[in-house]
Amino acid sequence: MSLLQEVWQAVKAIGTGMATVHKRVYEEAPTEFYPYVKPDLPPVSVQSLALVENEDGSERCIVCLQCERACPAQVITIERHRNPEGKGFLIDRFDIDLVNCMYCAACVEACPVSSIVTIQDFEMSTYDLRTLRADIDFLHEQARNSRQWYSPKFGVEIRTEDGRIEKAPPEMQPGGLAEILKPAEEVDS
Amino acid sequence: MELRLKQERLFDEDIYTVHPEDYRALCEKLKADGFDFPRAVSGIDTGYGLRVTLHLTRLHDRAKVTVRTDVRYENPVVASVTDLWPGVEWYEREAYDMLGVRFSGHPDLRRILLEDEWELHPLLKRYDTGGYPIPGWEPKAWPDPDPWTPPPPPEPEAGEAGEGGEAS
Amino acid sequence: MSTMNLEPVPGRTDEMIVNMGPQHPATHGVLRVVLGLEGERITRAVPHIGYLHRNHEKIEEARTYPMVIPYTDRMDYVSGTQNELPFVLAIEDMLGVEVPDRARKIRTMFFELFRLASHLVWMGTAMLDLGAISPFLYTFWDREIILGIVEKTAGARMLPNYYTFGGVRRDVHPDFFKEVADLLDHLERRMVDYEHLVLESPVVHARTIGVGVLSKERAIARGVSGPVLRASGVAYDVRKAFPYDAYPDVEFEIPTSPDGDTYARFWVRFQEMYQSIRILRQLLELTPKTGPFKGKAPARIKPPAGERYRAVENSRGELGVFVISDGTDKPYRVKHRGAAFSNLQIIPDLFIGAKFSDAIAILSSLDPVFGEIDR
Repeated sequence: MSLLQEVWQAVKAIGTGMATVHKRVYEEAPTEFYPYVKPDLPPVSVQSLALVENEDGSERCIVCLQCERACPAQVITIERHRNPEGKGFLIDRFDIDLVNCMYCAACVEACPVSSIVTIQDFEMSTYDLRTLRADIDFLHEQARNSRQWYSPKFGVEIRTEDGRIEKAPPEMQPGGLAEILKPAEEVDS
Repeated sequence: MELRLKQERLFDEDIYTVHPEDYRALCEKLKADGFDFPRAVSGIDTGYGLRVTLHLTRLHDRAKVTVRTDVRYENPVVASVTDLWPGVEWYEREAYDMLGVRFSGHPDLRRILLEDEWELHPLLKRYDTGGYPIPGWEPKAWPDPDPWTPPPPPEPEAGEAGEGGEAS
Repeated sequence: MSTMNLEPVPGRTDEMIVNMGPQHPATHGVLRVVLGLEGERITRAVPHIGYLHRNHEKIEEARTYPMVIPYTDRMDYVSGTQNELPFVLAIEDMLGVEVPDRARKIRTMFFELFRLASHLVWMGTAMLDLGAISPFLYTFWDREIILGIVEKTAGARMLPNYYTFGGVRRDVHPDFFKEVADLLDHLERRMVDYEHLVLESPVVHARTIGVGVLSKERAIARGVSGPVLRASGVAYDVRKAFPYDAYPDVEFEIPTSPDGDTYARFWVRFQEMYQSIRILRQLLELTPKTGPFKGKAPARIKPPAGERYRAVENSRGELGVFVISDGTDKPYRVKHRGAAFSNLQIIPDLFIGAKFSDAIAILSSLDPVFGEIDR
């Protein structure tokens, strides 16, 4: 290859590269300026876990230990005792070690009453890992602070302005719409 | 010479269970039969001893074959097949690393994933997930020492605790 | 993993021993190769792996079958759901679970989406190794779109935990098919740019053509699979050889190249991306928009005692899993056959005799992912 050809090849390669760069400059990037613009996450996105209470403040969780058994990372610790008046169980302790949690949402999948849910709050960075060992108050607080959450049983649920919990409209629901929009089952029993 | 082996068919592959002394001879025969692509070597702790399972395939007609052989804990020596299929070199090192199977004739039998100075073989059933010996773990008695027979498949342990949800 | 270094050869004073990695950015993770260098030529090469070892196989013995699936995700972390499939297929075989046709097709669509995502990451990092920075930004841009589609359906971007025994965990998002169609249009436009930037670049030609030649016989004997094997002229693809899921329903070709050099491996991955786009286009037509997405699997997964080896063709080659069940709800033994693990064994063959700067190009053409190699 002669020198002239080599120079021409180099010029051509640089030209192609510059042309590509030029094209991209005017395209809208898929990234967001995160701290200033909060990302619009899909409702099924698994960012953190929360424990939802009923509208009247009573516990939705029936302490069946299904999530503890389903957890692959074994970070859920639950202790319970029998309800002295009435049936069922009461929670003594409900801890999730969010440091070791791998956010696979197997617990959400297993929950029969959609008490443990996934939420979109991902801003959990901290200087002290001990703050991420979530106890029941922490998990309730996360649910109170979030406006919508997702669980496979009930789909996306939203908290309205006056504090009621409702099923989100169909356009907010993810796939499997027909299944989710079935008439609501009794939760509070 | 007659090879001491048992042949069965599972799904779409032939499975040969072979005496450890004949393992090498069978592999040479399979290599001559045209099984050219090594898929994996797995070491398994059966509770009776250690088992080495070799998965092979033949690229042109896609025949699959599995060779397995069982050795005892006291003397876990299996002939290496690295010279027949150089692709099993790291898998044999891994089986040595994880279970302590010693492959005679392997060119470079060192630990591969763990440190050289590591003391135990973590995939042995006598250790728990944390690497501590499980108290009361005993190897099962080899079923029939002479004539040689392969040990039975793993059996479910009696009595599973903590079954069934109480979601009511 | 080993702290061992190469011993100097007595009487050889011109050989220098160089430790490449494990924190070197060009090693795609935590590979350490001890090199003996004579000038710029490599005379000896000993790879050491295991710096990312977590012993998945031991952990998985202590978990029930559904719990294993999220762990398999974390092996090859750039190709997401592809890792789940061999385990899921093996257990479905043992249980005899029927997978609905639509679920198979959805699984295959995700499988191919992740192949595109993984090859895009490869393209970016390989070009980064060769000294080009902008392709890295562009490929991650396109991968971002793919991961956005995955997140909308599966709930997570890289480690989705989406496949399950008998199908997939939840139905696809209503916008899924439209978004995939848009993505394919977008990628087809972008592929033209990538061809200009990568395959036709004189710099890439100079760095890769004739470098690291792997012969056909050596590739087969070493158990190399995937694009590395096909670049050496062997048309072995698990998708065709042992078809699974929806691959019998779609038409595609297996691109092979007779050259076996680094450029051939680049070229084969490019052609695979075109084939992935072609498969996805067909599946967009074939997949019913509504229907079942999960078959009837038992509530408690307890396969009968037995064993099964299943393999799939992931972005790097044959990813296999060997499961032994003892009839309980926990696997007795899970053995993973990593595609990149097998491919990495070829390092001494390719490195010895090459120049040091070529070693970087060869390594990037093998596309190792250390989550899977070290497991």
